[in-house]
Amino acid sequence: MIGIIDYGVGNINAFINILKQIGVPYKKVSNESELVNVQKLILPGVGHFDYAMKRFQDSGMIDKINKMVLQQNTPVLGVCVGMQMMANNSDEGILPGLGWINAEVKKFDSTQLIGNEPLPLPHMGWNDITLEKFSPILTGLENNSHFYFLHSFYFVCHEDSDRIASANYGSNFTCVANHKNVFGVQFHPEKSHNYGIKLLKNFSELC
Amino acid sequence: MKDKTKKIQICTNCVMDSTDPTIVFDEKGVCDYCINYFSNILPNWHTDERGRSSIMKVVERIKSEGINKEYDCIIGISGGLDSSFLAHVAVKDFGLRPLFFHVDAGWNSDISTSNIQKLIDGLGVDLYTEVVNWDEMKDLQRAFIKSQVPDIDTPQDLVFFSSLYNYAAKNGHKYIITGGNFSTECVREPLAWGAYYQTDMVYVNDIHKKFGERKLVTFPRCDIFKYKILYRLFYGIRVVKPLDSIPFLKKEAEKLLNDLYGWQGYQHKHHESRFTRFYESFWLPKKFGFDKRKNHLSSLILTGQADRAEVLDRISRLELPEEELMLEFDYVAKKLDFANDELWSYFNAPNKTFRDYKNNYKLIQLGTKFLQLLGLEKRAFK
Repeated sequence: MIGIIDYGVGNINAFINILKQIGVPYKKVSNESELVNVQKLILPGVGHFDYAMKRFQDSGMIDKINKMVLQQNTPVLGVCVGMQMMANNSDEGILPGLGWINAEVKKFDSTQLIGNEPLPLPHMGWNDITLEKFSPILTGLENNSHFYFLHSFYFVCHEDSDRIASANYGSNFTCVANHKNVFGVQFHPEKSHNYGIKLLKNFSELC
Repeated sequence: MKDKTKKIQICTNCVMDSTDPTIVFDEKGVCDYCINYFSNILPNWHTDERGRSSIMKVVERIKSEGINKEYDCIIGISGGLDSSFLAHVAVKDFGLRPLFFHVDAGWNSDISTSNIQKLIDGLGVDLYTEVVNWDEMKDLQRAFIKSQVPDIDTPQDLVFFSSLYNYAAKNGHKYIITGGNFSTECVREPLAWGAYYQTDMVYVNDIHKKFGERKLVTFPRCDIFKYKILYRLFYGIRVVKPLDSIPFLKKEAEKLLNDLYGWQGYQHKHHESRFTRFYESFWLPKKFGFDKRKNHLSSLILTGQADRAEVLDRISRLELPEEELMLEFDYVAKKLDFANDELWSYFNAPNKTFRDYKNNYKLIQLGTKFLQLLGLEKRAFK
């Protein structure tokens, strides 16, 4: 059973639609008691880092989920800001991140010129990804698979071994990270049609 | 390509001309778009207290019906002027609680994405983005280009419209607030200029059947009868156009949005989509001889926002420099997986119209007349 963490941030229904489509059992979890029988977690997220962190802290689930992820090795997939929350900190806010992956979140350099124009922000739209290492959530996906992005901040892993795939927007940045049972994707698999469905299916099949 | 030797008659009041095969001029050389504006639109267009009082009644109804809902209405937002100004008015002036709904068909310009982000940040409103399956989008766009009709922006128009209406119906939204308006759109683009009904699914399906290469599985579709009858009469969805009830002037709206949110303007209407910019600046005028700036700018002439002589001067030249258009041609070809020569070959092939494919034109005309008779459809446009 996959638990989709519902803390008032992120589009839960888009995940539900896909999990339904691929026949994976799921439930929305919005309080600690609903985490019973959950074997995997999806942490969605949109908007500002501090807002998302505050909502997650206020949800009353954070201690139990920390325990599940860090002590019981429950696989967890962070999406977009959900991925960024897994880092130690972010340029976007002052609250500490969850620290599940040794990483930080930086803002794209909007003064960087692409041709004669500054790098447009946010990075919004389809982009190809480059696979750097094997990870079970990318099984069956090839180099240049395209995913849908919408963000102005990006994830910087402090451990090379955690970087799984990258994309290029002005420069290369990590778009898939994996540390043990913790997975983060900067793009939105729930908006990425066939590629996203494949990735979510892979996540659902993790042992 | 279009034979340009034929003499073209231009309206003496606006800049619409006889490249529209349906245009009619009176003895003073004034076109029927102008006559329709002065006789049907202007007398019924109130942006003073009368208009405000009328729209505020609707706003109060939307608020009271949506009082226990997360959002009381839904607004389709492209990052262009009309929808951006509408978003500002709906939230700041009317106090509505809309969900912003954006469709990403793969062709957002850099400015449009930035504008949307600025509005979300500035207005503190939630955004839902519907992302179209790019492989299907590309396939339908390629099919329309191969079909030789002028309506090659139909796939985008269809998907923008269908996604919004389908989403509203599925999620119980009763009020769709749109940026449709007389101020910048009182002269509608003629049907022949690539503006055939994008929701005629008989037409879309026939072109896709003949030229498409893959099944459209997730591509959002909403047939004209579905939204006019099912969604309106059975789902109770109402479409509200507030910009016709309040003052809305292009330059003032642009300045306000820029001052408040850092919103950036575009060189011309519809340039928020890179494909539409290419289509309206290059493909349509060069291949077919149709220039949509004429109806856009005629709207501004009629509403006192542009000078006819300046418009005539502007439309005598291409909107974008030739070198930029060639770069855009290369970009579009590459993005749609056409070899450059292949796209040129489609550009140079004989033109066709919607009448060369199966369509529901007669039935749509009949249905529209029927709805007008029932009082369910008002028609202000020519």
